[in-house]
Amino acid sequence: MQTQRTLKIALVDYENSPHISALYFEAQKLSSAEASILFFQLTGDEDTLPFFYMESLLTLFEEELPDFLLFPHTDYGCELASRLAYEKQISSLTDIRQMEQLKDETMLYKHICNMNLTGVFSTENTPCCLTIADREGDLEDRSKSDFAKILPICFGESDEAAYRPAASEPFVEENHLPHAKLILACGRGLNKKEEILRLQETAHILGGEVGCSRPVFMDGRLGAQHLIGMSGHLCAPWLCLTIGVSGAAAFLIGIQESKKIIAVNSDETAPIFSNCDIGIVGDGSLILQELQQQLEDIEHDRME
Amino acid sequence: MKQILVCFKMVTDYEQILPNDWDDFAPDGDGFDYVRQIINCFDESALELALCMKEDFTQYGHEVHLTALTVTEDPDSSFFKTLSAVGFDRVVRLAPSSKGSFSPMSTADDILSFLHQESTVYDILLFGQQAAPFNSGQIPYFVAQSLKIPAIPNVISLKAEPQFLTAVSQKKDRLLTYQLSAPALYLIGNCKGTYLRIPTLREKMSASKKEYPCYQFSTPKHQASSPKKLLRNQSERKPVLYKDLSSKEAAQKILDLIEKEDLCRHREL
Repeated sequence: MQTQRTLKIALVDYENSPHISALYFEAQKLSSAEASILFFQLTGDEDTLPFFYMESLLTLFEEELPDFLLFPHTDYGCELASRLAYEKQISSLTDIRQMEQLKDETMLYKHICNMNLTGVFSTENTPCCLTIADREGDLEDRSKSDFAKILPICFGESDEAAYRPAASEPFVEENHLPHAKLILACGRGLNKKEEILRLQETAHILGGEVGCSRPVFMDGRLGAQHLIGMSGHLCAPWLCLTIGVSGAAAFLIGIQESKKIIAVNSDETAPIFSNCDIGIVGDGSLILQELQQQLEDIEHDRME
Repeated sequence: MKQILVCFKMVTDYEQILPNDWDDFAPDGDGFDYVRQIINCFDESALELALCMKEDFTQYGHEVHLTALTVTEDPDSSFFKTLSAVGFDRVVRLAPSSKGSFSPMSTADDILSFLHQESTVYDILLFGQQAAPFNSGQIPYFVAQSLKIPAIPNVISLKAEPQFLTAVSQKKDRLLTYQLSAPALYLIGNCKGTYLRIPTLREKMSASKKEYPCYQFSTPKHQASSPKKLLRNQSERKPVLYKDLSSKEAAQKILDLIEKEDLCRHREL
C-alpha cells in the first residue's frame, strides 16, 4: 500500500516512439496531483533484442523504485515488462485497453477469450508493470520537459552483437490496409485461388484493398499484409465488405471500427450477421462474380 | 544431440460457445463440456515447425530429440498420442501448481521446475506467441528471463541450416532475419502452412502403447488474478438481413451502398 510519498510512474520506450503520448495519457490517469512521471529511455534501435537491456533496466528500477512502469504493447514492450516482472516477482498485465483509477485500486480493462470478452482486473499491489495498447484519437505530443527525469537504458554491446539480425528487409508489398477507405475481406468461404484473384480484381476496380481472415492467410492464399484481426491489422474503413467470413471475434476486432459493414455468407447463423449493418445470405462466390461483372459492364459503358 | 522443447496449450474453442452462454461464462470455470478443446493455433505452428526442424537437422547429420510439454489438469492423453505418432520423442504433462485463476508466473515456474530437474539443456525452445483465454503472451518471456537467454518474437519462419537456425521475425514494417547457433527461445507468430501433420494409421498404432508421464512440482505461490468483472464485447450495430436475393440483386445492393458511401472512384456508379 502507498504511504504519503509521491506516486512515481516510469514510462519505458524509445525516444521518438509513436506510443509515448498514449503512455503519458494513461500515466496521467493513474496519478493524482502529486505524481512524478519519469521516462526510462531505451537507447539503441528497435532491432536490439530486449534481453540486452535488462541489466540496465533492473539497475534503474532499483534506483528509482517506480510504483508503475508503463510499456507500449509491442513485442519489445511486452518482453521488457514481463522480464522485469519475473525478475522482481512483481505483478504485471499486458494489453491494457483502458484504465480507471478508483480510490484504492486501479481497474484495468483487457480483452480475453479471443476478444469475446473484456476482463476487468484490479491492481492493488505496486510496483506493477503494464503494457498499454495503442489509443485512438488525438493525444498531445510530449516533450522532454513533461518528464521529471529522463534516464537512459543501455544495452550490453559486446553480447548483443551476436544476436543482431543478419538481414532486415521491408515487406515486399506495401501495407495499405490500416488506412484503406474500402476493404474487401475474404474468409474460409472464399478460399479458392481463382476466387481470391477475382476479389483482388474487384477491389482494384473499386479502388479498395483486400483483407483476409487467419485461415486464408494460413493456407498461403494471401500474405501477412492482408491479415485482419487480433494477430493482424486493425482497420477503420468507411466500408468493409466481407465475403465468406464466419465472424470469429478475433477477426471482428480488426473491422469493428468500420463505418459500415456488409457481410455475405451462405450460413445465416454465422456470427458475422450479428456484427454487420447489412447481411446478405447467399453464395459469396456467385455474388462476387456478379459484382465483378456489373463493375466491368459499367467500366465498359463509361469508355464507350 | 540437439534438444528441442515445444510448449503447447489446449484451449477452449470459443467460437463454439452459444451466444447466450457467454453471460454465464467464467474463464476458469466449468459448465461448457459441450465445447471442444483445440490446440492453440500458434502452438500448433510451433509443433509443426519443430517436426520440420527435426527432419532438416537429421538430414544434416545431427541427432535430434523433440519434447512436447503442456501444463494442464486434464489427463486426456489423446492429443499426446497424436504428437508421439507424428514424431515427438517425448510428450510431458505438468499438473499446474496454481489451479484455476490466471497466473502466468505460476505456469512459467512449473515449466522451469521441469527444466531444472532435467539433466538436459535445451538448445531450442519454442512457444506460441500467445494463447487464450487471457492472451497475456508473458510465459515465454518469464521462462527466457529465468534461463537468461534472448527471445525472438513473432517468428514467421524457422529453418534449420547445417550450422545455425534461420529465424525470420516480423516487425510492423519489415522482416528481420536471424541466424543463431546459441540458445534462444522463439515465439511463433503467424507462420503460414504450419498446420500439424496428420499421422498415418501405422504411426498411430505404434504410438498407442506409449506412456505419458505427469509431473507436479511445488513452486512459489504467486498472486493469481481473476477478473473482477466480465463484459461481453458486443456489436452495437443493428443488422438488416437479406435472405432471398439473387446474386444479381445482391451485387446491385452492394454497389448501391458503395455509391451511397461515395467510395468508388467511378462516380458515375
